[in-house]
Amino acid sequence: MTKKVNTFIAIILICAIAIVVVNCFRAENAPYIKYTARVGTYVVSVEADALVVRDEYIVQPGLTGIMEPAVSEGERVSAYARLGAVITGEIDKDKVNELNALNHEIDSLTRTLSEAGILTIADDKVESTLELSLDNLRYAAAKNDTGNAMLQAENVRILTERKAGVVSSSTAQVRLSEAQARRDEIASSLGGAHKEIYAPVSGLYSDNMDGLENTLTIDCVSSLTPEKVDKYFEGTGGVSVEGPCKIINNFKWYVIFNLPEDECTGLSVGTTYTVNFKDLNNTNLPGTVKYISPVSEDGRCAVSMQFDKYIDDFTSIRKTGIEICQETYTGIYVPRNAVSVQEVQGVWVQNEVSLEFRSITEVYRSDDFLLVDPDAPGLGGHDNIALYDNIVLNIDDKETP
Amino acid sequence: MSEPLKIQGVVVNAAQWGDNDKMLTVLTRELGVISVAAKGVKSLKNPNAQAVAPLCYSDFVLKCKSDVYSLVSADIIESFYALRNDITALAYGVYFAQLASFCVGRNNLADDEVRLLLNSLYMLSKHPDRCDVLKCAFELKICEYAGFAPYVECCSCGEEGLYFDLMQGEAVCSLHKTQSSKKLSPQVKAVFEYVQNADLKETLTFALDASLAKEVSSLAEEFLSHQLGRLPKGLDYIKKLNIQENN
Repeated sequence: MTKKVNTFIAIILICAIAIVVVNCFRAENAPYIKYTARVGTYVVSVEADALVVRDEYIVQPGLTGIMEPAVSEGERVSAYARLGAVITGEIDKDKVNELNALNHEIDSLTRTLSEAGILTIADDKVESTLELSLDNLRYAAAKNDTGNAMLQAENVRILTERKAGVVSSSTAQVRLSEAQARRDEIASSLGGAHKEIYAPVSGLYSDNMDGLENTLTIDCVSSLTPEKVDKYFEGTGGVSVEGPCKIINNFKWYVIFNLPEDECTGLSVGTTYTVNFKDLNNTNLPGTVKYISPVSEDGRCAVSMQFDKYIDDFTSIRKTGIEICQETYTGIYVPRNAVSVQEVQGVWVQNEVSLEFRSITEVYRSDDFLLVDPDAPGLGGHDNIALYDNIVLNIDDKETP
Repeated sequence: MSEPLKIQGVVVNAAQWGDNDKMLTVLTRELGVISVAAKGVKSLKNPNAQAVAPLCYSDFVLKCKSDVYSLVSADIIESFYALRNDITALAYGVYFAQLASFCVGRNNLADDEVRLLLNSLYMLSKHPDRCDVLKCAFELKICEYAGFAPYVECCSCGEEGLYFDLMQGEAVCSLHKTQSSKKLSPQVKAVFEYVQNADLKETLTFALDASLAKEVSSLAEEFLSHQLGRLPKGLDYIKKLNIQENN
């Protein structure tokens, strides 16, 4: 029994020694680990949570109630355009719906008639406009454009009546008068107060009110401190003004944020950087640094950046994550463990069966890799590294030729 | 059972093979041109499907059984995706890959040829408007790497070479010209000499007049046709594209 056990142990020992010897032999003859030199790009960026600052004009109808908007969020409206109505007290929903439908119809009819210029046209231009409308009618008929042909036919009819001295009373005008009368009738029977509201200025409509409209104004972006920005994030630091909706009347807008002092060193006032908006579909926009505050006691700076490109959804977003790309480096990516020094800094590359030393010129250095210039001249009598060279990673300088 | 072989290469061609499989022609640095049976890669769910697309430079793990390679796995190193946005650049890329595989053959070391091909594809994807110049540079450089670099300095008798002999691959004087000799203008001669003396980077970045590039390319094509006995089908397609563009 003991003899069998001893034999068994001896066999196991022999196997273990054999495995160790084979592995040592393999390690000595291990093939080079290679990496194909390719172009890489490194972006130096800083991330921050930011507040969006816009030039906002709050519409104040003078009474509080339910807002019945006639335009949708983010829609561009002209000055004096109807935005909707504010209704208070007991409300008949059916009548409100009918009122909204009538308002839409009145807007549409007014736009059609004013666009055509039929009602407001001067008397001395009636004849020439009639000829133009007739030409348009013939063209629309020839193209089988039924919708346009009907519109032109209506214009021709009105203009013919006006030419004949008949008072204009087109179908559209009759319908407009009827709708306006009906609207007034419903409005007076709605119960409670009802007030139509109109855009005081042109701009983008928004009913997304967060109470910071009068606090975060464009005047504040040039006098920021980190403490002020903190307060804005908390929703305090200013006087809140209520209103049912607002008009954002300028394409220039800003973001404000706090950054640690060391992350601010890469930014300078007046310089434009690419900013990635994480909450706005990762949109990249160029933004110019408008203001950097002095460093506060806790080592932070407040920064404001200006943008002049309009993007979707920006009317409804106040807080957003941003990433500011300060610098972009492009070059051949070289892992740090491949770098060797032979009088000059370089890497070993395998060319068919031989190893060759190639010099490198740094563009960017990190802890893990270097980006090197592919177009730099060779150094110390060596060729410069080229794209798609086979860089040897696991080379020991002792074994290099 | 042999160990799996790890190798990097450019997919030159991916021929249909059965319902779900492809037969790949891959140009590698260590083994030259190899054929690889890639099973199941036509399936959308196959993880290797992207890495075996034509002109992709990929890391392959292969099994070799009685001199036939079959694909185990593949990872993309460089896909040259930009080439797919420009039909002309793509056509030139395919031609380069085919020409490189013609010049290399099987079981040959092809480090220079693979580097030339990869750099040319990179330049094509970055500068698709320089197709003609890149074509003539590629054709002349691949001749050099394949071992039949044209000699244009002078005729063997020492006289100035006014003609280029396609069979011998060298400049000849009017006395020694044969039926296979073509007129060699001083500008074309200068381009031949420049490419031979330039390194890879200089070869692919030099500027050349479009008409001169076509003249050089035409002579290089004839020379390659004589030396290799054939030219890739991709060249016919490029000529068709050029005719359509001119019309």
